[in-house]
Amino acid sequence: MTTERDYVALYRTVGVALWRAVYAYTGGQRDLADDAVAEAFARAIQYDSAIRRPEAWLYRTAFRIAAAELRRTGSLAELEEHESGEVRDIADLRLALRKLSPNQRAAVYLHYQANMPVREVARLMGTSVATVKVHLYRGRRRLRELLRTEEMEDA
Amino acid sequence: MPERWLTEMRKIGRMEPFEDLLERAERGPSLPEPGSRPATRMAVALFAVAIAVAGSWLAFRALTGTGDAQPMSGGTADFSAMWPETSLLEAQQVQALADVGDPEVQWRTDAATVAVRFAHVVLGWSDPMAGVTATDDPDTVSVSLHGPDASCQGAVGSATSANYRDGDAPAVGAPGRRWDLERYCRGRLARAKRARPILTWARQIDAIEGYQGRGPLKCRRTGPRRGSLAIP
Repeated sequence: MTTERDYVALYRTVGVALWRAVYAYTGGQRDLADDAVAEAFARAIQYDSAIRRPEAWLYRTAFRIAAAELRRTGSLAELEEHESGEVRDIADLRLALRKLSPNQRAAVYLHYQANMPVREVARLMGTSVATVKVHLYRGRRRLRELLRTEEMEDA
Repeated sequence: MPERWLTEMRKIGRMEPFEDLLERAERGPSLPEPGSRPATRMAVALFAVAIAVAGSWLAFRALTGTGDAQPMSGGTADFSAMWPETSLLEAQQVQALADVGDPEVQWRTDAATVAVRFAHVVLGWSDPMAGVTATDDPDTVSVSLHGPDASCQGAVGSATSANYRDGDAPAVGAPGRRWDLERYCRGRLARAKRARPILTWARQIDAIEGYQGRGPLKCRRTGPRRGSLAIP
């Protein structure tokens, strides 16, 4: 397929960061993040020149696809038993993330881990700055409670 | 020292997809469009709005007697062929017969007779009566139709006094007086505005057929009705 845009370069620039954001959005569901990101890129290739800002479009599309899949599956999948050591390493985080809403997860990840300003997070999520601030406040507070409790139980 | 939740979040930054997702993407989309359901709902909503608007417009046209304009050639655009004629050609043929004094179509030159025939043929009334009132437009008259309700036989005897003319209500259990229960219809007739000595009235009476009187109606109330009458 001939496209106006260099999607290989775009994937190198955006792909992995997008995948991590969707991974957070889905509460740590790798397969779902894979599907959403691949599908978002597939649609970007399909629509190609009709998309003006591909990065923001990819984020919003991937989040929408992931949200649809989360609704379709009904509930978050159980943590896989055959996971690698790397994934087991973040098991606590995944359990905590699943107590947040998808938008809270994504906002917290993009702002605190990907170091994006709130305005940029709002743009990528297709929502308002005020809404992102609410997601950040609630998500941060919840994560702090959940992981502090875990810490105290560990101790 | 950063809080634990921040330390945990950093672990996501070390994760990567196992496969090259761009390779999958290049094979094309494989999931249903997430926007398809809202789009479908939007289409259904728009369709419902369109139906409502169209229905309101048609009801307005039916009740006001406007629309259906089909100008007669050589005349103005004010003539509408609806009933008895359903086409411009039929209206022209009837007008031509009236112009030469054909007795078969003379009833068409009298508005009250046209209205009575309409009630009889289209509405199915057995013994209609018509009242004709002039309007500001010399080529348009207001017509009211009323007549006994043959379809309400049986309901008359059990009807409340509201269905009867004042003072005529029978005693409970007494036989009903059929002529008291009347159907009522009103509408307008129009004719072509042309320089002819005699013009045919050719406009359907398009109004709601209902019942005179107060209180609950015992018979079915019908909506606007239209029909065509073969030229005698």
